Amino acid sequence: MKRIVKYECRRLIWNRFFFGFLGIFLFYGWQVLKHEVLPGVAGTAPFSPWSFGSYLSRMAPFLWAGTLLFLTFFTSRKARRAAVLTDASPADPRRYGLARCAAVLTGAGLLTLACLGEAAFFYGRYVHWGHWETLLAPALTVLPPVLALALGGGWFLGRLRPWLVVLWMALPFLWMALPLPSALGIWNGSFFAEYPLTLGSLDPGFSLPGAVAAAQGAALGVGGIAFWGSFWGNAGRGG
Amino acid sequence: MEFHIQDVTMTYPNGKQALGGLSLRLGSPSLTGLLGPNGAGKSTLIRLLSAALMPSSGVIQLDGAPLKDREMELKSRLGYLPQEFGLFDELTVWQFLDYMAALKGIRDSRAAIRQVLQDVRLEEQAKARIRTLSGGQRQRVGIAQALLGDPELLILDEPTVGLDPEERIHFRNLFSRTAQNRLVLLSTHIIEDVQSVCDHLIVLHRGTILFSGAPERLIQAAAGHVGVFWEQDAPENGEISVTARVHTACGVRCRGVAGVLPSYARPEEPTLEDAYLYLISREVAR
Amino acid sequence: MKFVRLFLLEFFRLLQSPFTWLTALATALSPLAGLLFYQPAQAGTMATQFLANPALAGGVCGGIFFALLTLEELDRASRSRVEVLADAAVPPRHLALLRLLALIAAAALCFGVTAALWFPASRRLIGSVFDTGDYVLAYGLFMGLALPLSILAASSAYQFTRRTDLSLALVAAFSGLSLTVWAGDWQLCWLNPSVWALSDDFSNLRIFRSVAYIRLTWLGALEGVWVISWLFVRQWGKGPLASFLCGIRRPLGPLLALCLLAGSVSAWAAQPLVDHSNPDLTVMTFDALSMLEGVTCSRRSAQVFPDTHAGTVSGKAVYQLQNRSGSPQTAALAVNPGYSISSVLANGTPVPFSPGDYEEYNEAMAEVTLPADPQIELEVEYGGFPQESRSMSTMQGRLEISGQYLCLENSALIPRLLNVSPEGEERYPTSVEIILPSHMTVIPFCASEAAVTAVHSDGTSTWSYEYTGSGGILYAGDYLREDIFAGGLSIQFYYGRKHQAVMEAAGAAEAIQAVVDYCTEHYGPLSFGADGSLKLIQSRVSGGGYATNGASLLDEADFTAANLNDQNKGTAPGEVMIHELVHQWWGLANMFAPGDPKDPWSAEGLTCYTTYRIAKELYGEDYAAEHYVNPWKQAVEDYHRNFYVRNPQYLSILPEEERLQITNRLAELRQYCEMPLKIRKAETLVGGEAAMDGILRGLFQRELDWAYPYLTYEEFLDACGLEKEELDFETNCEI
Repeated sequence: MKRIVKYECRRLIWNRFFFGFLGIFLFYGWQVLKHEVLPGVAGTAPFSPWSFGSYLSRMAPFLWAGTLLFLTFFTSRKARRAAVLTDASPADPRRYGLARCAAVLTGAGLLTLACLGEAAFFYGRYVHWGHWETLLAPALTVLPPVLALALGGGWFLGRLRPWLVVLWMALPFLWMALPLPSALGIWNGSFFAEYPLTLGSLDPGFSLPGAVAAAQGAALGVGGIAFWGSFWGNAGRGG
Repeated sequence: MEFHIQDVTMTYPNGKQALGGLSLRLGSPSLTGLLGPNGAGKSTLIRLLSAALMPSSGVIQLDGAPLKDREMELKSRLGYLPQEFGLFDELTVWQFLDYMAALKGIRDSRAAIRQVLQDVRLEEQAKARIRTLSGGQRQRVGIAQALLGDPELLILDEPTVGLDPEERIHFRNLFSRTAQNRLVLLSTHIIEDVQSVCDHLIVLHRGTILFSGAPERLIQAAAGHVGVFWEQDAPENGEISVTARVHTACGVRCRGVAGVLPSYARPEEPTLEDAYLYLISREVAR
Repeated sequence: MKFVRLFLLEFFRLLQSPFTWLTALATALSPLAGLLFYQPAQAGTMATQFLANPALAGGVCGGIFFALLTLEELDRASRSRVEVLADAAVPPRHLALLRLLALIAAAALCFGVTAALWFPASRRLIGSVFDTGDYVLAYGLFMGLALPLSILAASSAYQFTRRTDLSLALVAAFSGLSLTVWAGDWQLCWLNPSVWALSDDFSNLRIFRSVAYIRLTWLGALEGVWVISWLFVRQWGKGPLASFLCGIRRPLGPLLALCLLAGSVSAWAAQPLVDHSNPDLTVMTFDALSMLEGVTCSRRSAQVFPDTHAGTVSGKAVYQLQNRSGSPQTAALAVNPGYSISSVLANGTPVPFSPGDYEEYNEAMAEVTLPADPQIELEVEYGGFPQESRSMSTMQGRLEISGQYLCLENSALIPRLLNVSPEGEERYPTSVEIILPSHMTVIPFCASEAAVTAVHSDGTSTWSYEYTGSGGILYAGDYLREDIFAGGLSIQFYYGRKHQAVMEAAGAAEAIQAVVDYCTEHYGPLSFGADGSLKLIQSRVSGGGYATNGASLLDEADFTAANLNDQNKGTAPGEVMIHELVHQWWGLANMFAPGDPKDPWSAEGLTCYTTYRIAKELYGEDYAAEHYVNPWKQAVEDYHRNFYVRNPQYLSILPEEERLQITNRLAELRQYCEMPLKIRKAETLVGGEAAMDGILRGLFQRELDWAYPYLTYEEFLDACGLEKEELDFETNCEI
């Protein structure tokens, strides 16, 4: 399956779409860093876990959309026409699906790295800062649930109806506009702007209230279950 | 390899019955031609045999065991070319075949790819991106992927569509060679292809088998039912079904099939096409 | 003819798609979002809440919906493989143009239906101040033009990339930026124009002009981009670049794209609406100019001719100067950056002048060479379209000039002398003549009264008035006047005629009386002004107000029907009005040193404190705590929390633009929030409200040192008997 992963990565990443999307993604990120992160979120440093988390929250919808756009490589009409050939092969559908999933994760991982790399460059250039280990916690809090839910949900829905992937893609843009309960604050960025103010200290270290941690855990879990559900039965193939 | 199809019916979710009570035995080595008008159920049968569909009722056995239990075994022995398929346009021909080789679990993929590229005459396009290929070349990539790994069962649905006459002859011969020691199922509209290479013929009509046997038997069955005549001799709404018209200096010369040839028609030696048309026209008349 | 037939064919085909109808339905409902949750315009006027916000929401949502429809339609052809058939019948570029036009026509149809559907609802919600013209312009500009912009953007993205996924990402990023991080830059908001308020009582031409300008600039830009993308439309089986190279062989396309892009870039760079003032609000080079030795000004006069249709002003200012230096001098004049000076005559002779390109605080400096003559009559002809301040670029509309309303502030009214001292003690005696439509009432923003000196046959009148001062502000409009007597002052209350019924019903005059009585009772009567008179002028919605000797500006947002009928506030008007009235006591009667604009001790501190006290008395303690004390505490906490306040070394390494953005925000916060909170802390330390009232009364009525008449922080602390440190907050500002 290594060869499948290699070729799927080649299909997903080595094309105009990826580089075009990367360009749009980095441009958007730079604007967010310059206008929203640099002044500092909740009175903290622009390089605090809170400001960085806010940046990641802003980028999350694009990361989400990017991951699902990769998925459309397997659910599009064109891809389904090719699936008549691959379906006739003796490859284990689950392993094949996992190989494709690994390719999507590679693409999403590259986007994530680009997002982190851009922040690194920004911090280096504007505030001459580079203690990355402090930002690991917000990155792990924001990114894995987003990627898991996007991929798991997308994979599951894409199996049912390919167009559901497009609806799933629009979800984060919708929740950015809607008032969400505080437990879901990470998903519209309000958590990073509001929660540190309630901690009663300056430059508080990164921490999560139970409800938010549970919500992130639930997102991760739901994503995981949806992902597992997609491969359970005989339908891992084709996304 | 042997398929045993017993009383298989296939009804789609929309209620359309594609196959009804079909029974058939297919065994290797053989190059079996599958003929039939549009909507006869050819593609459905092919999809059933490639385990892409499960029958609504009846049993398909592969080497004595139900096919649904042997799906993986079937697929590991199958080379399949559907009528409509897509390719990964982003990859080169070689990369795509390497991808399919990986899916088929072929270990020495380089040699296998080189061999099929040679078979389908695409060596020069090996490094070309698939999106740059012509329709005929794409079709040949489809055939190549079906041939990968020397499969024991080759199912080809309209494989020569989009190929020029020379290529058609080439592939016809290729399939014939391939069928020497395996089972090749060839579905086509081009009767010429079937006539020249198939040792076994199945004619489907409205989901049932009209004929199954050697092509010669079909031809024999049409003997005395094929005739030629001058158009001016024939009355309007005559009993003969015209299968060909040729303009000559003396007038229009017609070829036709009929249950009983009229007096103005001179009997002719039937071809496979005549026999097929006779079979279908008889069925339609019924 | 064939093109029209094909267009109609494409248009009707589009109308048969269920996705088109879904898009149209969603677009028609989208103004509802402006009433419920998407409310970018913040002002409290009825037109803002019930017209601007729904129209803006309609533009944003409708734009996004039509962008999606565009992508769906363009992709459909290739998805369903009809493209190859269609391309065989019509050249691909023709088809691309036809599809674009059909989409725009569908958008226009949808917009027309939406605007018609929402008309009765808006009329009912806005009530007596509803204006059909404003409705048409608001919907047309805020919503209508957003749709073709989105269609052009989406269509261009698709024509460049030929991929729906990438086009979706492009459109999402482009829209997302406009809605979020670009929202602070009025020129970048292509989807959601910077509209913060629409006036109920007066006209809105200025903000409509601004939005129209930006819409047209973006329309030109996106049309240009679309034409370029159109050249990339794949044809003859070629790739994007090869198709483009084929496309540019016929020069019309590239030339058109070039013209459109050049036009929009020029329009972008040369926008006439907002100035290019130095963003660093601490820099005050004009005020720091050294005065010319031996040159004084004894008088100035101006004839001002506003063009209420074009929104422009032309004028002639005459300065009586004395040059005792015996040598030519260079005088500096501040004019509105949108004006140009067309001629300068000194004693009837043209003299050299040079317009400067440096701008500061909404003024540009021009230099004029004065001759060596001892008496100089300097005549300056000026005019143009007045520009608003860059620092308020997302809140445009202040310098409205129309047949309904006019506001000319300082150098937008008459050029200001920057480096010429006044002759004698009187500060620049000035007489102004202005010609305006006869239905408009001219109200100088000072103690003087304007009077009609001539009525012209063309329906205009000449008004004239005199005042002293280097600047000068003038309001004019269809005003009514009500006279009120309160706190020993004769108050002339001017408000828009359109608002008469609302004002009378809500008893606005009584409320004003209550505020003036409060201040007089607590701090003492105003001792300045023109014979104890005070003008209160209801201005067009401006997000605040200001005050000068004998006049205060009251924002119309304080007098909306909704605000006046708010049961929580009783019948008293809004706080901005109170704030500006209080400035008569703090800021005018008692001046504050015009030094560092970032100094937290300014007129705003005491004014905000007093406003809070009045609000507390009028609306109750809970209201005052919720709307004043708690937000101040929050703001002060935020200030002390702020990373850059605690770590100024990081501020110093930021690029200038980013640094200014942060420091300007922090300075405002200290003046408006930290200082009033300190005064409230002092109130507690000195023994309560009564004791603080006594101290403030003492400060208000203190003997002024005319050498330095300003009320300083030290004087305030001394009067309270407190040390500076006692009022300082650490991180916790609980008091």
